[in-house]
Amino acid sequence: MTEANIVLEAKNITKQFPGVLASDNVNFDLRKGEIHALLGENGAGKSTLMNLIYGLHLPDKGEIFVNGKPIEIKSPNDSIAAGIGMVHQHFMLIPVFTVAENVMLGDEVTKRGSLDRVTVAAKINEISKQYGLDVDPNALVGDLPVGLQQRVEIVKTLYRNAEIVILDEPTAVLTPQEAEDLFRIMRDLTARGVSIIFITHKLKEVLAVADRITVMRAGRVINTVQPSETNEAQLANMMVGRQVILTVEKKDHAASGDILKVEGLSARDQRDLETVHNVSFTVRGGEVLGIAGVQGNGQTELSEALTGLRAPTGGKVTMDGIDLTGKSPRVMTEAGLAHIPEDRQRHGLVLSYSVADNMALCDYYRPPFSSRGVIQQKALDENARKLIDAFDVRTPSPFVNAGKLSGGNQQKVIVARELSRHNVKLVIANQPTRGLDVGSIEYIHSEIIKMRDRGVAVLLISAELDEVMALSDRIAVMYRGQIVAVVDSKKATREQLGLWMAGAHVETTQA
Amino acid sequence: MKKLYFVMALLIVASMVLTACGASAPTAEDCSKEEVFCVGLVTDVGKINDKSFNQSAWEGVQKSQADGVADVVQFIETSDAKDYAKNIAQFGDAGYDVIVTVGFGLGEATAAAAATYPSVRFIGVDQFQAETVAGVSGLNFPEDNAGFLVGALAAMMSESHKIGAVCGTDVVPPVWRFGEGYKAGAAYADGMNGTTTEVFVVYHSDVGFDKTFTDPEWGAQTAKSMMDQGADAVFGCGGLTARRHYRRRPGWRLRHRRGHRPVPDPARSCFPHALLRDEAHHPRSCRPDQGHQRWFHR
Amino acid sequence: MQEEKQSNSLIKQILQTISDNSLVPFLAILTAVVVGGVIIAFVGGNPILAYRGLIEGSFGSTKALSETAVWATPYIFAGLAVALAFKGGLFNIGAEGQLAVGAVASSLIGYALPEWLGYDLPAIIHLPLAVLFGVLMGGLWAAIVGWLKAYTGGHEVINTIMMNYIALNTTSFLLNGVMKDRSPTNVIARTPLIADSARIPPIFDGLRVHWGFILALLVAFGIWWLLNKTTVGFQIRTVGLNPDAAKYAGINVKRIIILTMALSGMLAGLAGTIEVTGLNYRHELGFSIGYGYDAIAIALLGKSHPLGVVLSAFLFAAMRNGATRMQFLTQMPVDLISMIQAFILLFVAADAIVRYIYRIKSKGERVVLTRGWGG
Repeated sequence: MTEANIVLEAKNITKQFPGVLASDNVNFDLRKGEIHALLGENGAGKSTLMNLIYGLHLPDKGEIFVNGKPIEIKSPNDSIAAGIGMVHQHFMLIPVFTVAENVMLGDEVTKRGSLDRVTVAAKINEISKQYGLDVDPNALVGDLPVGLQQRVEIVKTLYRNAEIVILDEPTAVLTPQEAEDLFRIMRDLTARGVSIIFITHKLKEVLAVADRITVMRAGRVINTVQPSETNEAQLANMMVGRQVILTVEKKDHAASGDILKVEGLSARDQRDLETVHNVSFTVRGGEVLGIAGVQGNGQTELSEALTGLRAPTGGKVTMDGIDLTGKSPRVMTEAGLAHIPEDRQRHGLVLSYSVADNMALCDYYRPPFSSRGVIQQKALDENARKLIDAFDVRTPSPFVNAGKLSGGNQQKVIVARELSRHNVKLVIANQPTRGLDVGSIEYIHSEIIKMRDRGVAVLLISAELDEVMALSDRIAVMYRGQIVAVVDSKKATREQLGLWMAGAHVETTQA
Repeated sequence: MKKLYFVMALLIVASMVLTACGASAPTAEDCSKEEVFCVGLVTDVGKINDKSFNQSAWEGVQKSQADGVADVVQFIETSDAKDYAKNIAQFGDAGYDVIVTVGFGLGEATAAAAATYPSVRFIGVDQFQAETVAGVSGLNFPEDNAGFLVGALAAMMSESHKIGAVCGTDVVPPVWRFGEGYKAGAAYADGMNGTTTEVFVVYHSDVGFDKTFTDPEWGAQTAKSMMDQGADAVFGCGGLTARRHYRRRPGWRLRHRRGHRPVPDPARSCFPHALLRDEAHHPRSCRPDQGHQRWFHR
Repeated sequence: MQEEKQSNSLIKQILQTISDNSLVPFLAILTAVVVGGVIIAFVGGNPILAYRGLIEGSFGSTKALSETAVWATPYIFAGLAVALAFKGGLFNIGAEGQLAVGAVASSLIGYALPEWLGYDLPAIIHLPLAVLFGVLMGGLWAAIVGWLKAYTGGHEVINTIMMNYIALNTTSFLLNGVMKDRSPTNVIARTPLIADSARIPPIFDGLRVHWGFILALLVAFGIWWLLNKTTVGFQIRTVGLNPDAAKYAGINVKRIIILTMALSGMLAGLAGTIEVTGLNYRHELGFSIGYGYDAIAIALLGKSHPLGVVLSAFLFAAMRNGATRMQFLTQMPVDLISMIQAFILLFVAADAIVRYIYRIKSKGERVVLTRGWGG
């Protein structure tokens, strides 16, 4: 490869945010037609670097070259003009618009004052055929599955003549099969001269698809390696900066009687669509039941219906024999439920409260935290110090706002609060490690296993198949609001689970 | 941060310089002196230019200065009823000789102030006194007479034989007297000319005192609906409320050309003389009719 | 020793909070004063003289101070009402109506109760009754809006505005009708004077400042304590900051919304009540107009902190009170004061302007006062 092949180069990029050096003298280059993976934990500076390249932030120092020429990128308009496109983790699509309308959004083609959908649709069809994207320009985006929506995002960048495409955590929302499709598309794109920057924290994917891998940690580039010269353990070490145990150590453990019993549960979502149909399962004391499934198959509504955040529309939920159907979160907590919510910032924390206040968020009204309606600040602080120690929460003090902590430490605050409650019989953990660094993931996994070993029933809901497989004793697969299969985790294979997650017909007998 | 301090320092220095320059500014005349004759005026909640009592009274006070009677004249607009006493005291404490308080709302505060400042003479515009208050001259007007004249004039001028009046609240007697006088005047004209004139009189009694005289939008709306019903002359009696449709409505002239005729400026109609258009331009003629006033008891 | 250290740190903490939160409001005030001065000069006035009048008129004498306190009293109560609602994530535009309801209710008890009973009540019973009734009615009035928000999702901004119309027009109806002062000379829509036993006495003879002002300061402290030290306050703040997390934490969000509105309405009702029992001794149509809206400005300027509310209430009171003197000295229209107030609010609300003028960097977290229309 010669210098001329480098389509994008970032030199000595430095970006300081208040209190954080998000990008510390970073050098990065992208060759024509390659997939260059950018690997790192959350907060390592991957997204910052890409936002700098895409023009969402301005660097304090450093230069960016496209095709060897220095360019100044002040806004996404500049980067788009330079042939750079970005597919964000959260899609920037309008569900009630068609694919064509979404694609032309911000760059509308008009014919005598009205939108020229025909021309745009023709161009989309052309792109779609050329790269094997299989996108129908006239479909409503809201009707498309997530995988296809992602392709619409890719079409959007290509439609704007992007030669460099940045994919930010593209597989987070996909089934293993959809991810395979995406990788095929990525290879097709590169074969036709498009260069791709692939941002991820998943080691397996990087090794499977990337031509080169650059690992970032704490705002710096640690190393750039070829996939053939490295392995998962080595990459993990580079990411975290120390030895990492990739598998969860788990002793065999005999499960006791049923703790959580769910019979025929149904629930509706905000739009009043029934997204959980007639779901039944049990979780026994001392076991982890993992619910696998692609995001958006009713897991959110299921966990909310089980934890009192959403009223079920049918069925029955009992915990240790007590009927808890449709009861309030307070009743459930007092009956022995510990809930690690899916969205820690929305449900789990009040970000502008101190760590200490957050650690008593559910128990503020009980002694010792309050007496006759008056909050006992001392008890709150003591409790916080104890939990900060016991759960290794990295915070300058208990009085710091929870919003100032890193995602991992925020999650630890929640885990500490929930698992330390004296009466826990059941843990419902929904996406307990989403977006966290490897160290925090390890820690939270071990805490969950500890609870199981103590005889507590654990319901784990996760879109990360690896996590479900690593932690669970049994695995249930959720597809379109139903439990389509329950298997013993020792007998489960990724491929089989992936098929179920994608809705393949279930033939295997249930465990 | 450095820049911030710089800007702040600059501001402080600037304000100090300005203070030094401004130190000599206060009014030269000292009202506490015997030989300096000062007249102060306190308005009711409302504006000095309300085309009504406040304005007429203030014009009178200004005239006293122009005529060489008063050396210093000042006014204070009241913005909240709880400030009545304070606003009067402002003049009282400064040694003013005459304090004019405008509006019956200030009646109680004026009576109280008269006791506090026995050497000051008070003129209470539109302040009815059940019992005589020492030091206060209440000015009341024969509003019914004025209303009568306007009503007669309107009925005589009207071609559609439909006339209207847009007034403040009838809870206030003078306003009520305007309205009733207007009706009577129209009836009188009808009797003279053998016409039958339909009279619409609407009071803005549905709102509080804060609003009834300061609601030009309502006034304009009401006047418009009267015109829509065919009225070709509308009388306004009620401060700013009655002002809008005369002064600001762009459509008015159009209507005028189509055959609608104006009634002379209603605000002026506080004084019967002012009804005649020519005289309205000569403030001198806006003198209270002495036959009806108790002018300076003492 | 321990205690001394704690009280020291408490003072430090308070000072820190003040300096952290008051920089932008302070600069906003400063900028507004400068802009106001330029405008005064532009229309031919003398800004220095005008501001001298403003300061003399509000702080220049014991009488001036007393009047400033008189003005500050309803502002503090009503400002706290709006601030408390902000803390609970609610935008109470209805302080105006709640205030009127409180004033009407307490004046009714004030003048009519002895008539109904047929004998005079001792002040120790009559005054608290009058105040309590006003407070309760104000609270009830606002609680309706809270209930609508909690159970039907009706937005409190619209509903409080609507309730204002109902309150003000009902007041007008009552004061022109059954509650009107029937004395022969009266033509004004107002209630009779309340009995002496229902009046809050002045603190000093000859000055109008009354014990209601002290009560306002105590209530401000009480609200701070309630919000920061009690479980109820914890619930209100949690619902205000993150209703989803509040629900997750087992807080009955609906009940807290109603409670917050009720408390807010009670404070607004208290503003009206104290004006009746402490100052006017009756309710008159047109008294207390606009306090409920000024209160929104006061709560915003005070960043919804009780101490901030007290300080900004004083600022507004001083401006309103000093306006007379300013007008007397310069013959500048009082509207100028409203304009300066509007500028202060503009600069506080659009703090980006102030930050830009003085090159202050944002400290990251933004204060979110209310949630949007989606609730």
